[in-house]
Amino acid sequence: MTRDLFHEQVFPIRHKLYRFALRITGSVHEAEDVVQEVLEKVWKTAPEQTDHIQNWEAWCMTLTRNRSLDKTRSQTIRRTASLDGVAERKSESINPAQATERNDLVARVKRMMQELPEKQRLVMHLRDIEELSYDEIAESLNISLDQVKVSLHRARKTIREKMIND
Amino acid sequence: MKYEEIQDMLDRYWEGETTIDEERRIKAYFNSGAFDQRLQQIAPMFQALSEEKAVQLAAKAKIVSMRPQMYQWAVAASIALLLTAGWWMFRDENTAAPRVVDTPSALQKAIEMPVVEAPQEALATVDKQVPKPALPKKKHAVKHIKSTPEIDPETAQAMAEIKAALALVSAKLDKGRSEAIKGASYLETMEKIPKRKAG
Repeated sequence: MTRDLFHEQVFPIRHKLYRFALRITGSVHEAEDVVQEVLEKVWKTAPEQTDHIQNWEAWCMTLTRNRSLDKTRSQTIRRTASLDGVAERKSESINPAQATERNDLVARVKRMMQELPEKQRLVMHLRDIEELSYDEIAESLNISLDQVKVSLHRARKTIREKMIND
Repeated sequence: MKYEEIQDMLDRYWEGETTIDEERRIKAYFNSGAFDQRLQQIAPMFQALSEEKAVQLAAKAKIVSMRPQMYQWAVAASIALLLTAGWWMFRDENTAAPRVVDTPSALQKAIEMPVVEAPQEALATVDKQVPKPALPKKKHAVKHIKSTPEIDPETAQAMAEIKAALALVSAKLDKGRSEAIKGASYLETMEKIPKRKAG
């Protein structure tokens, strides 16, 4: 891989790759390691092997997914309710009481997302957070377009129902 | 945005029929802080999505050290430099030779000649009593290469030049090696000094 290509196509999406790895592994440290390994692998890939690649983002996403799944499976990660780094984050609101309530609700949604079945969770992440097209999601996850649509529909529906019923 | 408009978009969102652009508008709407209270129940969902998108790789996280790659390039560059230097030297010394095109064929003969001749010469010296049977053989051998018998001196010259070039390279390597040994022994003595002072 050439330096220019790396800096134009791959390096700028590192945060995206990190969020995706975080979604799968649920651990900040694991996700950081995954991004490091993926970037290193892409950087060291010979140019001949990357000739066929049209969508760098989807390719990197696939590498990130595979690497993350390897890590998750090999270490049977303790996926606790409070995912370190995923659930807790600040937001700017006006009054502290409201802010706390809002944060609780937002944190609950994040947990719900994390509890979705793997495919639904990843499809929803790539669409609703990373704003990828259905085609790009299908390519990144190596699944059919129909599976993307069905998984997304189910994921959104599950979260909506939980929010309304709780 | 009017309630009806956002409600319509949300209906399509749950069915997975919204475009990325519409989904962005929905997220922006719920993160503006001025959303319709009738939609309060689902607002946290879109707030969560926006918050998740803001998550970034910590700046302190080290990202891809370029060093291994740079190192490989450095090695490749040094080898290329060495080869180029060697070629220049060889070329300069070889200015007497008329055509560069001749060199490969001369080299080829340089390889062929000793293989054909050496055993026969050895035979000839050992069997001094029977020089005659050896001679016809030699003539046969000469016939094989008869096309360019006068190349001999050129071949010798080429061989000599190759030897000189190799000797130069080996001398440089030897020098480098001895410098490295000097450096290493210097480091060793430097390491010993503080120990002595401490002891």
